[in-house]
Amino acid sequence: MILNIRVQRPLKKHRRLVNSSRHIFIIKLFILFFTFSVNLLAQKILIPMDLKQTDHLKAYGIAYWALTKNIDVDWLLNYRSGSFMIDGLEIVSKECRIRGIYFEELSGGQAAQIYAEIQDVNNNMDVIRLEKAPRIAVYVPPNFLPWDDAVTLAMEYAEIPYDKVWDDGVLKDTLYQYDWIHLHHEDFTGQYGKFYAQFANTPWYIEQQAMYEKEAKQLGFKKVSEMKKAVARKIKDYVASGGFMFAMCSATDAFDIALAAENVDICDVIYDGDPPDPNAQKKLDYSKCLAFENFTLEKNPLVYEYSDIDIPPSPIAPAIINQETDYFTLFEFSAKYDPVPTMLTQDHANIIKGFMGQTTNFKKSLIKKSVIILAEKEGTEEVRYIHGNFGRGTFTFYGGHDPEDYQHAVGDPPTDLSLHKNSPGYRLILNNILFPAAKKKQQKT
Amino acid sequence: MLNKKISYPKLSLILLSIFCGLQLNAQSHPDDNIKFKLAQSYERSGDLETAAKLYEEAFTKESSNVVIFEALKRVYLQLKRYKDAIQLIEYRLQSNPNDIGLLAQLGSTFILNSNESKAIKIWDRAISIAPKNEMTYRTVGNAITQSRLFDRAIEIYKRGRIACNNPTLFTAEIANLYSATLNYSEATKEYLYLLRQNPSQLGLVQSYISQFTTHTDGLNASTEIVKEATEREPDNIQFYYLLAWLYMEGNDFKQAFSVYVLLDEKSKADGKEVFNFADHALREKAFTIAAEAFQYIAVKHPKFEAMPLVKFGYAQCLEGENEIVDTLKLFGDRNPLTSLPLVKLQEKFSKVLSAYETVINEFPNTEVAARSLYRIAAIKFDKLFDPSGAQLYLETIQSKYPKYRFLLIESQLKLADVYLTQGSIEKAKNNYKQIINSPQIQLDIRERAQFHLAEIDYFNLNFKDAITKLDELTSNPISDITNDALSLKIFIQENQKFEDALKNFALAEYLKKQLKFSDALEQFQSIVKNFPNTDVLDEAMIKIGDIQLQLERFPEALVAYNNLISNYPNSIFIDRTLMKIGQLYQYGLKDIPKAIETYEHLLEKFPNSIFAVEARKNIRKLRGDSI
Repeated sequence: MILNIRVQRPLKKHRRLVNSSRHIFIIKLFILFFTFSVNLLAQKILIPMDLKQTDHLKAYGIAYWALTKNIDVDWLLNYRSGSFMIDGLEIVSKECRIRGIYFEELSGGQAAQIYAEIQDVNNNMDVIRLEKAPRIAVYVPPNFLPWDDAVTLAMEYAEIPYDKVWDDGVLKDTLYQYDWIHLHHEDFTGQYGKFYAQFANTPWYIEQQAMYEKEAKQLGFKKVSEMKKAVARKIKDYVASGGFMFAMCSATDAFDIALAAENVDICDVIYDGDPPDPNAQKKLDYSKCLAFENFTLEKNPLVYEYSDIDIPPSPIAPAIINQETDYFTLFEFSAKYDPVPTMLTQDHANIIKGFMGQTTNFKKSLIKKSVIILAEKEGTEEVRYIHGNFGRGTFTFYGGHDPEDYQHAVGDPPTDLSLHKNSPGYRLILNNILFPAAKKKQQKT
Repeated sequence: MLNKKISYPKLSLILLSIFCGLQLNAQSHPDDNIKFKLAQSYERSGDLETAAKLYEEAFTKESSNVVIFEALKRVYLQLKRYKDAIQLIEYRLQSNPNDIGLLAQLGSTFILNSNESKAIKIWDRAISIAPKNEMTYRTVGNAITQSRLFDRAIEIYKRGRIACNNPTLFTAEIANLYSATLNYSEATKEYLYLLRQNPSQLGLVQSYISQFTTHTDGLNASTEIVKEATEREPDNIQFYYLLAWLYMEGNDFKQAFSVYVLLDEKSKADGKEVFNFADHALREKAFTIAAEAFQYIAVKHPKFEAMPLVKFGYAQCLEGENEIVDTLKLFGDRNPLTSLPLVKLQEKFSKVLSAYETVINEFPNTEVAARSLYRIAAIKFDKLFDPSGAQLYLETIQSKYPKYRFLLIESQLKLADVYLTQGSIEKAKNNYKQIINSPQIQLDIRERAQFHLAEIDYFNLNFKDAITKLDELTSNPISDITNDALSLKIFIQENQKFEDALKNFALAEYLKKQLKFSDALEQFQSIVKNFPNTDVLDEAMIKIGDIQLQLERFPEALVAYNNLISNYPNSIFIDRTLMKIGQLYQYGLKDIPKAIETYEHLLEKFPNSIFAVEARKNIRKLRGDSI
C-alpha cells in the first residue's frame, strides 16, 4: 500500500526531466525501485475470512505460525471479514493446504489493488501489520476440573502454542514473560465458583477446595479468598504495565468483584470458614474495578451467582432465555480511527448466536463509562463483549462459556472444534489472541 | 457419662423437656421476651449491630438461657466480634466447665480469631475431660475439620483410636480427610482397614477409591499401597480383588492377570476367577493377555466346566490380535499395502485356524463349534482368498448346525458370496433368494443379499434388471448398502451409451471378483486399448493399478496410476488415484518424501476432495507433527 503511493510521485518528475542525463540516471534508479517494489508486492497470499474460508479458526493459527517464522502478516480489517495477507512464500501456501485453510494466490498488481481499496477513505477498512507472535499464557489450575476452557480449545485447534500459569506463578511475576493472559472459568472471589449447593460433596469439588487451601497456606495466605484477591491484583498490575488480558465467562465479573472487595470479606462460612463482613456491600471499592461499578453482591452462598452484573442471573437464565432467539450483535467501528475495537470485532457474521455461561452477559448500567461495548443483545441491557484500557495495557471481557455449546454443563465433554471450523463466536476469541501481535499505531481517537 | 440404663428415646424426651422449659423461661418475662423477639427481627433484617445489643441485654438478664446464648454467639460470629464470642463461650463454660461441645466451639472460635495455638490447647482440654470416650474425639475432630485443619483432625481421630483401643475407629473420617488432603496412599490404607474389618464392603471401598484413581498419581499411590498390603497379608482375598481391579483401572491387564492367578489359587476357584478375568480382558480387547489367561485355564484346569468357552475365547483372542483396521477401504476389503503377503498371512493365521479347529474337534455339536466353523470360513474367504476352503466349513454349518438360526443365515450369505467368487452364479443366486424370502430376517442381511443379486445381474450383463434391484436399495437412505448401490447404479446408467465397453468392463470386474487377477488385468488392459474414447477408460486404468497392487507389483501399479494422471488429467478419479499413489509410496515403497509430496499435490489440486482430511493427517504424521 505504502509502496504503491511512493512509486507514483517520481513518475511525474521523470516526465518533466526526460532530457537530462542526470535525470536519466534517476529514471533508471526509479525503474529499478519500481521493479523492486512490484516484486515485493508480487505473489501475495490472501487468506480471506469471509464465507469462502473453509476453516476460520485454523486461519488464525496460520497467521500466528507465519509470525513465528518471521514472516510479516497484514491483517486487512473489514476486508472480506478481516482477511490476512501474507508474503507469497511456498512454505506458507503448503502449510495452508496441509491445515485445510482456503487461500488465494495474488499477483503483485492484485495485491496492490486490494491495498489501494483498503486505503480509500470511502472504505471502512485498514491494514494492521502483525509483527511478532505474542507469547501467550493461560491461567489454569494444575489439576483437572470438569469443565473446558473455550480459549484453550480454540488455541489447541488453531495450533497456537501457549503456557499455563497458576497462582504461584502469577504471584512470582512470571506473567511479565508473556504478552497475553487468558482467564476463563476461574473464581477470584475465593468462593470456588459458588458451586457449593450442587457439588459440595463431589470428589472434584472437595479436592479442589483442599488443593486451593493447601496452596494458599504455602503461599502465606490465611484464606483462599485472600490469595485469589492478591492474584487478581497482580494481574491488574500486569495489565497496567502493558499486558493484554482476555477473560471469559465467570472470570470476568469475579475478577472485578475480587478487586472491589480488596479490603472486605465477602465469602460466607462455607467457603472460608467465617462469615462475610455484614457491611461487605457498602465496603466495596468500585474504583479498583476495571470494567464494572455499582454492582450488588449475591450474598446467598448457595446461589450460583456472584452479583447482579450477570444478566439474566444464572439460576433463572435457562428458564427465561429462548435458545432459538438468543443472538447478540457486534458493533461496527471505524477501522481507520478505531483499529483496536475493529480488530476485536472482525468476523464473518455480525449477528452471533448466543451461548450461556456462569456469567453470560454484563448488565449495561453497571459497566463503567470508559469501557467500549463491542457486542450486545439489541434492545436489552445485555452486553456480551467489552473492551477497555487500563494503564498501558488493555482488557477484553467476553460473556458465556463455550460459543458452540449453548449450555455447557459441568462434566460435559469438550466441544470438538473440527465440527465448528467456521464458528463466528470462537473467532472473537482468536481476534484477541492476534491483537497483541499488532504493530502499535498512534491512536487517532 | 450417660447412664446406660436410660434409653435414647427417653433421653431425647428429657432433653426436649429441658429445652422447652428454657424456652418457656425465656418467655416468662414479658419485656425480655419482647426484646428477644425484637433482636431476632433485627437479625433477620440484617441489622446485626442492633440485634447484638438487644441480645446482650437479654443475656445479661438470662445468662443461663441457651437460646439467648446461641443467638448472641451467632451474631458475634457474624459480626466477626471473635473476642466477644470467646468471652461469651468462656463465661458459659464457667457454669459447664466439662461441656466438650462448648470447648470444641471455643477452639474453633480461637481459630477464627487467628489464635491456633490457643485453639489446640482448648481442644486438648476438651479431650482430657473424657479421653476414653469415642464421642469426645468425634465432637472435637468434627470441630477441627470444620476449621479446615485436616492434618490436626486426622491426628485427633488417630489419638481416639488408640485411646479407645479400637484400631478401626474413625476409618471413614480419616480416609476422607486424607483423600481431601490429596494423600492418596494414607487414604488407601484407611480404606484397607475398612475392608479388613468388613470384607463384604469391597464394592464400597472400590467406589471410594475410584474417586481418585482418575488421576495417575492417585492410581499409582493406591496400587502401591494395596500391593504392599497383599504382600503383608497374603491370605486376605479381598485385597487381591482390589489390587486386580486397580491394575485394570490403569489398563495394566498383565499385572491384573498375575493377581487373578494368585486369587484363583488362594480361593481354590479351579480356574473360575481366571476365566472371569479372561472374559473381561477379551471384552476390553486386551487380546494378548486374555489369550494367556484362557491358555492358563486350559493347561492348569483341564477339567474346567466351561472349557468350550475357554478354547473358543482363546481362538477369538488370537484372531483379534491379527486384526488390522483399514477404515479408508481404498483398495476394497484387502489393502495389500498394509496387510502381509499371502504366504506370511497364512503363517500368521495358521495358529488362529488351528485354535478354532481344536474347538470343533473337542466340542462337536455345540454352539461354539458352529461359531468356530464360521470364523474359519470367514478367515479363509476374507483374509486368505481361499473360497474352496471356506465353502467346506460353511456347508458343514448348513448341514450340521441348523438349530443356530442366526449363524445359519450368516453362513448362507457368506456361502453365496463364496459361490459367486467361484463362478457358481446359479448357486449363489439361489442362496441370496432364499435369504431374501426367509421369514423374520434382519433388514441389513436382506439388503446385502439383494445387492449381490443386483451385482449378479450386472456381471450377467442384465443391466436393466440390475438397475431395478438397485433402485429399491437406494430408496432407503439410512441403509449401509445404499452408497454401494448408488455407485453401481450411476456407473451403469452413465456408461450404457458405451454398451460394448460397459459389457467388457462388467466381465473384467467379475474376473476380479473371482480373484482371477491375471485374467482381469488382461481384460482391463484390452478395454484401455479398444475403447479409448469411452467414459469407462479412466476407471479401467485405476483397476489395472489396483490389480497390479493386489499382485504386489508396486512399480507396475505406480506406472498404471501415473498413466491415468498424465493422460487423463480431467478424470474425476484423479484425487482418489493420488491418494492411492501416496499410500503406495508411504506403505509399499516406503519413500516418505515422495509420499508427502504426493499428498501435498493432492491437497494443491483437490483441496475439497473427500481424501483431503486423510491426506492432511498422513502428511502431519509423516513429518512428525505432534497433532
